[in-house]
Amino acid sequence: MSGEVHRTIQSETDASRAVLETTIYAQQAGFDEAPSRMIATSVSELVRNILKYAGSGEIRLRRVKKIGGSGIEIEAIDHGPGIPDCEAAMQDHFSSSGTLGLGLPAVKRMMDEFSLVSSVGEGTRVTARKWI
Amino acid sequence: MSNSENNYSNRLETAESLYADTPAVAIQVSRDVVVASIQVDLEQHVMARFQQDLLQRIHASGASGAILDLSGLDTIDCEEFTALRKIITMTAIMGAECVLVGLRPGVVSSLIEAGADVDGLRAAINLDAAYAMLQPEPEAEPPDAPDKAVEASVTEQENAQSAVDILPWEEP
Repeated sequence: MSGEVHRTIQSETDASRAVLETTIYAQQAGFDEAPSRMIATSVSELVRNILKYAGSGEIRLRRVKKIGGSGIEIEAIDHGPGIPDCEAAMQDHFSSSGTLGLGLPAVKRMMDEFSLVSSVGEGTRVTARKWI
Repeated sequence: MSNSENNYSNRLETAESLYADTPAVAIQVSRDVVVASIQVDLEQHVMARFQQDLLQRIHASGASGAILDLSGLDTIDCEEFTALRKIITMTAIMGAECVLVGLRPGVVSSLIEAGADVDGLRAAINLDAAYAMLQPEPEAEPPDAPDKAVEASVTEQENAQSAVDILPWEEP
């Protein structure tokens, strides 16, 4: 399976589908039950942020390799308002939309590698990897 | 009918039509406990409807406890978890204790890894164990039926046992 998966996220239905697809993708990549759910839960947080803050965006899943292992990379891209203060967004309980902003720190904890790039007015890109 | 009652029933109708297209969570009352089995994705509207339905059933039945069966959920993200916790707190304030059952291994490890606040949540391995937690004492029987009381405590023990025996022992 070479397949990189790109999914446009515009509605709750797209979001649910992307989460489900992620579980299957992770299992096919060789992840066990528990880590597959963690990857899927991470995607769930990311698509939720896309819908809540940007309205629409994209999720990309790909398999990655390094010396001594393989894994999955998930990427969440949107062209929304961007995050003015990335450091604050990575704090637990920070949120600018009124709900508990647990999403991003949770993703960071569930995945092995995490990066957040955002510029105001241009959008946000979250990349996270998990190794088997 | 007074004017305020009229307003209330109007509001109820509006609320019902508001959720007409929203999938409902199956809720039933059994042995003084409200049992809700969540088998659908917990998107925002579903959660809002579930909250309303559950609290109304507890109120109407006067149940002393609620069991939330979460075995149908593949993932629970932070927002869903926060909403669930809110509903659990609401049931507690109504006087009904809430026990979770059926959480899947992957869901549990995700929640803990993600750093979800699980303090004060009660969970049981299955429905029987959940009932045993909510109703630790067998119901008081009238003094002229002692046999039944004995029977009830035996069932209680069986319940407690099934909560412990997760896996059958196999000889190596």
